[in-house]
Amino acid sequence: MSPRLKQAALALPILLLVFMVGRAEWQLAHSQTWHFAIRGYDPRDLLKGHYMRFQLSISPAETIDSCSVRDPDCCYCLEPGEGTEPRVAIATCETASSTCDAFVRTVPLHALDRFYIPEEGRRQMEQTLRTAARDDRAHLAVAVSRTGEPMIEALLVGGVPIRAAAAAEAAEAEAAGD
Amino acid sequence: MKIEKKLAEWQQAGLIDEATARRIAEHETGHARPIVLYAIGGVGAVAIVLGFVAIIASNWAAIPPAAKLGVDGLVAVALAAAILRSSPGWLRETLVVVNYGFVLASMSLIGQIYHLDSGTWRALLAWSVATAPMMLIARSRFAATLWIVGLVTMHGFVLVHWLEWLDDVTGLEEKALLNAGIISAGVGPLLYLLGSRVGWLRRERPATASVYRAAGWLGVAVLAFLAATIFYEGISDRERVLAGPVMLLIAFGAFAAGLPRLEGPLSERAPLSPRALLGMRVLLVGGPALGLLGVGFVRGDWPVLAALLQIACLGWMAWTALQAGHEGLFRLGVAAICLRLLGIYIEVFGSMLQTGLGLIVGGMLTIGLTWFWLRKSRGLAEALTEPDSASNEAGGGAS
Repeated sequence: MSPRLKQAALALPILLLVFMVGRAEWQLAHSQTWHFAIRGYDPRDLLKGHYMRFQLSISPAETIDSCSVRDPDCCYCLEPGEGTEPRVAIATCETASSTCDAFVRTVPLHALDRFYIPEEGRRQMEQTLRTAARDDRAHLAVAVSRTGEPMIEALLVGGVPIRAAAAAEAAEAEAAGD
Repeated sequence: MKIEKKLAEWQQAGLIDEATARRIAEHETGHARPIVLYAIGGVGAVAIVLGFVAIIASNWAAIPPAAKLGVDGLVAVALAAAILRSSPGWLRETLVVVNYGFVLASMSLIGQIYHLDSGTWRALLAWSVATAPMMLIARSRFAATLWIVGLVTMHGFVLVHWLEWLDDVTGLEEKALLNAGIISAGVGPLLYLLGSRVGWLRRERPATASVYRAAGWLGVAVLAFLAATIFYEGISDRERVLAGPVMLLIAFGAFAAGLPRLEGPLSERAPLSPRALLGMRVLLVGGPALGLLGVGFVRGDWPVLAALLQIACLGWMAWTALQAGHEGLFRLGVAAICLRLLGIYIEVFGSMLQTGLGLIVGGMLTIGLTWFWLRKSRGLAEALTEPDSASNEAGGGAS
């Protein structure tokens, strides 16, 4: 193997990692953020670590073109709602892309079902999420690109990132204990 | 050292003189591979890779994501530079293996930071494609074995996704889906065997070519064993398929026909004997043929036939291994037959009492077979290979 080929062979994996980071950053920078309510529970991944598992809780107000959430050609049409969550209608992606201000593909959106958390303090975070999900205060902030591709931005409890919310709850509990 | 003991034995038996023994010892010392270094390097590399994975899995909270990615990038560049600067040897092999695992761990880290979840199959496919040229830098069997384990894992995940995609997106009917599944899964071993025939790989990376070949033959053996297993279940008209197994049989048949050209020159040992060639051809065609008989016709469940076919498959594999000069594989085959026999005893008897009796008899049978194996396998090996050696001497070999 010539030195140039060897250099190329060793550069290829690095280029893959750079591409992954660049793609993720580009999508976050060129997306609009929407909040969706979640219901949650909590296992772990042996390779990637601890995560919270959840399901998005979305109730479309209107169904156009007899679409279903499991159909890869279907999208949610998104419009700003009264609270933090958007007003949602379901339609084919073709209809949604031509008639809605923003839209997100249903299959990849509902595939967002886990959020990685640090090992340290995970129990508190799990408890915070459980309580918040019960009280409808847990939301997933999703960055949606112009082509309707979703990507997780943050897991929010009462509008703040879960780590901060869990830390605040822990501090409150400690103060009450004192 | 084993060779010194052997040389002393041969010298004592008057087979070689002292000068010859010394020359052989010098030659062997000069060509000896640093096995201990490779073993320690390999264990160290695997430990480092597991360490990377464990650290990433802990998702250490104190360090901001940008710093994690920065450090990860620096380590990736440093590892690549170290591989580039190192000369061929155990250190380079170890670094390549570490980098192979590190790239996967880095992909997990990026996935964790950005909460990416685009499917394990896609991650493994990207990892395998991106690291394949790097793994070709490595020359050792150890690195090649780890690489093939990664490739086979990726192959499995991609295959499952491909079948799910066919089911979900194309909406193929059940029989067409079964045929597609049989063909997609069945041709896998042939791909590895063909991969081992790539000229550059055989010339420049013989250890890698040899591992590809071993993986291919292992796949052929597994396929034949699974084909025999099919007879445990009955086949209804709804499950009966013909096209997939027939196409697989044609592909394997064509490969078997071209075997002397494909397999012969690769052998590092003596050319393949006619018996070895026969054994490999029957193994190649036998698996798909059994599969065709198993799923091509409506029938009931035939567990006794399935168990007998499994033992016949294992026996044939062991015999073929012996004919090809792989005594270790032959012993493994005999051990597998013992285990299968023990399994049959457990399958046959139902109640606790019967199972207990079955286990005692099965255990005694296994001990008996082990005794027979230890006492007779060498003699059996000689007896089974003797006439063929004679025919080789007479005919000058097959390939």
